Amino acid sequence: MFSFGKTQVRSLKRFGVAGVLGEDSEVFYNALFSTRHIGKISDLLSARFNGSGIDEIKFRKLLIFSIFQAYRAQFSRRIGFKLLSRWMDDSLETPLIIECGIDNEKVAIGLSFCISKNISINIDELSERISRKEVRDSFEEMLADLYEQSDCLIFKYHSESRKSEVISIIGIDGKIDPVSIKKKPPLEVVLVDRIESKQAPKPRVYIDLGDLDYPKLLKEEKTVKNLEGFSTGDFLAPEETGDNLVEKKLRLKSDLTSGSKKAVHPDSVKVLKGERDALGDEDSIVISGSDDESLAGSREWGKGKGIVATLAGAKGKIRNFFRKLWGRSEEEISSDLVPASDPDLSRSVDGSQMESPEEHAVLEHYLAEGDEVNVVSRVDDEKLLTSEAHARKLLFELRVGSFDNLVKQMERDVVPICKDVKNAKVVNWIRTMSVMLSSEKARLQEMARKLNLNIRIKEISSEKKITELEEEMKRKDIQLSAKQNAILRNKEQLLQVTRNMDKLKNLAQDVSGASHFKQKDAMNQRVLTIAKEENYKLIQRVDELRQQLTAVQSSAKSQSQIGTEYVALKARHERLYKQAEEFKKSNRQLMDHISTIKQGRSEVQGAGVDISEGNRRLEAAMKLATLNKKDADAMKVRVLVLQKQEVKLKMEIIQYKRLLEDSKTSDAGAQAEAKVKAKGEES
Amino acid sequence: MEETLEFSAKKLRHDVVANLFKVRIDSIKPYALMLAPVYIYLKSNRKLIAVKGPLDFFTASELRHLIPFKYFYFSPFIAAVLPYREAGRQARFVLNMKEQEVVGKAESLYPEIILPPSPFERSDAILRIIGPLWWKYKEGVGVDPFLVTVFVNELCMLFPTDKLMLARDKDIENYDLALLRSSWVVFLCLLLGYCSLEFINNIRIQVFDDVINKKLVKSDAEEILDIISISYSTLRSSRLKIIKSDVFSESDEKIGLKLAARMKRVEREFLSSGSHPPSIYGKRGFIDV
Repeated sequence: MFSFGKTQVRSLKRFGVAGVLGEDSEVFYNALFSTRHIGKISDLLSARFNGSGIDEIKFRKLLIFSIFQAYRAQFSRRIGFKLLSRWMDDSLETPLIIECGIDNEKVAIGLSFCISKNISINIDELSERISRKEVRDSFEEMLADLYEQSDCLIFKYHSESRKSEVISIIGIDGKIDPVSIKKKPPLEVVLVDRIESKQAPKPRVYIDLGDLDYPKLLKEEKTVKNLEGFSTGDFLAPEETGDNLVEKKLRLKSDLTSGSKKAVHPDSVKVLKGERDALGDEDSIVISGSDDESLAGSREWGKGKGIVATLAGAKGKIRNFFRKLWGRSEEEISSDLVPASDPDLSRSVDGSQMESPEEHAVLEHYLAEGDEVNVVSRVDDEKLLTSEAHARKLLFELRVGSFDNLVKQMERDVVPICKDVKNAKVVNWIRTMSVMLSSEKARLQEMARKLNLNIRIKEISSEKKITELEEEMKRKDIQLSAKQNAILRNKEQLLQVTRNMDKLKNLAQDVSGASHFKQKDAMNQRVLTIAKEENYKLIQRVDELRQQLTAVQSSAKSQSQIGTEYVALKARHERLYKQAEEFKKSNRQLMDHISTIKQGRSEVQGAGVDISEGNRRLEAAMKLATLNKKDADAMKVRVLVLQKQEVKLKMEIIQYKRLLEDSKTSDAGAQAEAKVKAKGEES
Repeated sequence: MEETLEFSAKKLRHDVVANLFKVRIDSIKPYALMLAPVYIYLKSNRKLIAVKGPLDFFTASELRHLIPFKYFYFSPFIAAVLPYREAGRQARFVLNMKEQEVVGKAESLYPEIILPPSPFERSDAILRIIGPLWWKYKEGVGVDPFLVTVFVNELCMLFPTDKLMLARDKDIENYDLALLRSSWVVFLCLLLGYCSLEFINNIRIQVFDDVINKKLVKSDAEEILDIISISYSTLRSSRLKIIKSDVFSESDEKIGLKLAARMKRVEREFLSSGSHPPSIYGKRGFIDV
């Protein structure tokens, strides 16, 4: 008998983990159609078992591994025993049933599934093979893996339906007998026969995972407090008070949200505010669409002020945004996204005029190529790049072009002039002008940079609008052509209808008239009414028969009686049928007779004989007939009398003959002869 | 022999029209199961006559012919049915939930996605929807199988038309039972946390077919066979008034124990009670007892 731990195994002949756990166990269950959310299930069960002493990492590992392997075994029914390549349409037709039970010394994770027919299961010596790790196929490999990770493994199998269950058991440290874990039992293979075992072993309670208080169980114990204001205070731009900052924040926020549903982080609003100061009202541009946040990021990038922290969160998205829009390499974008470390931008802040060698090279390259230069590989951004090239040319002009050379020349020339000029006022004025010129150059440089950015943004928006308009035009063209086609179709249909109408008119002329159809219709209606009545009668008849049948069935007569009755009824029916036939025949004869009489009458009537004359003749004939009948009767009476006389005479003749014979034989013959003669004479 | 869901009033007097619910005929879909007896108003006869019984359906041509009547009329019983239909719709929403992106959050600097609920969250949500469909009747805690069918009819997709037509033509008496049983199986599956719309649609059609063809249902999953078995044993006739919850606790099978455990929560948290529990029988229903 299989055992693990102190608690006796109650039953292995039924599916479910309750049989391997004690009576006081709790079993949690759920039905899974895919491997999604198994992390959540693992979280929930771990939270529920928290404090029971189970090894959480071991439990989670085994749970997730079991679910995946069972899922693969069942899913392979459709696509083979392969790794999943699809994520979205990976639902199972029938669910995996996961049961996770716990008693006072162990946890059992059971998964019920159906093994694919493609997988051949060889139960013979399966346990030994798993113990020796001599697996034959991927399914046995799965069992071997589970066996290795659990303290005890049970494999239940119903050979006819190929329904299976794998129960992995892990002991709870400090509660399970250490010997049980040390002497790890081999894989227990159980052939389940459902018919033999009707009653399932009961746990203390079955709990659906949905019935657990999961919001409470999964709640984080230590929550981070909501972010408050900066401990170092809010920095305000020049000429800005706390009040108008809030006001502007709100205004900007409402402006932005009215343009798009997405909002912008307050930090980026602050940056925008600064930008507004520098560029006036023009920069409050919102690109409608889905990239508002990215745009906020681009503004921050343009300003290069206090956005490192913000960018840390949004960097990835902004990268994507720039990659999408500008087609620039990731390294370039990265360099753009870290403005604090950008030497060029830092220079622009501190007024330095020098550019990096790389930038110089890029700008020279731009100049060499002219307006057609395109360092970016994307072809569809040509216009953008052209405007960008213009802006960069301006920038380069400011940095290394004639203006820059002029400033440098002036700076070089100012030094000896200042030495030569003795007037302090003139020297101061020259120096001031020189510094102002430098700062003006820096300002122009900064403005050109921003101009570049704004041109880009505007061109993107106009490009989008153009694309949208073109698409709209295309759509409208398609709609127009569809409508034209529809009109053509309608015209054709109209023509067809007109032709049909003409044909119908011609046909109508051929037909004798509408009255004929009306008559036909009336006739059809009558036939229909009769058919309906008949139908109704038949329905009634069917109902009656059904009732009779029900009555017959409810009376519960024996079949022999029903048979006898049936035979009797049949005989009766035949008799009645014959009678009916006879009646029909006689009826027919009568009808014939009647018809002949009628015919005779009609003939008589047709001959035109006077009825009164006929009657008279008939009466005369009747009288004559009566007289003749009387004569006939009298003659009959006379005939009868004569017949009687004849009979008498015959009898007398017979008597005389006898007497004659006697006289011949006797002596008195002579006398007799005399007598005869006398009599003869008398007669 | 099975009994059908014969309703009592085949005709209604015209003066009750004001108390009836009506639906535009052109809003009815062909092959949708009717939730109650359907009446039309004959103006010339000043009478309402029934054109379809409960759980019957209209074909497209039938609807075309009836469109001149403009409205179908339903008895006030329909008011008791509508919460079940609404629950069906809610359940379908829960089972259909997909990922969605959250927009408009002020703090959002990254794409925020709400993942669909996990199986146990769905199971909980479904129980909160179907729990109040159980009522405290005089006989005990239970649910009317006809109303369960109304709920499932709204939750699942329409039956394939050919199956419906064949089933009705084949055996009208068995047709009602097939509808009730298939719905009851779906209801039990939901009660046990089987929260996949595709699965419950399939199992409903499969059970419907098997009842019509009087075959035994086959399934790969052990527990599904148990569910079907318990559903058949608890719903033997289409004239069963209510299915009581205590049939689960009486069972020794694992499935019965699981259902009984869930019903305990239903009775504790969601059970509906009132002086007039919804039923198709009696004055408030459509079958006079």
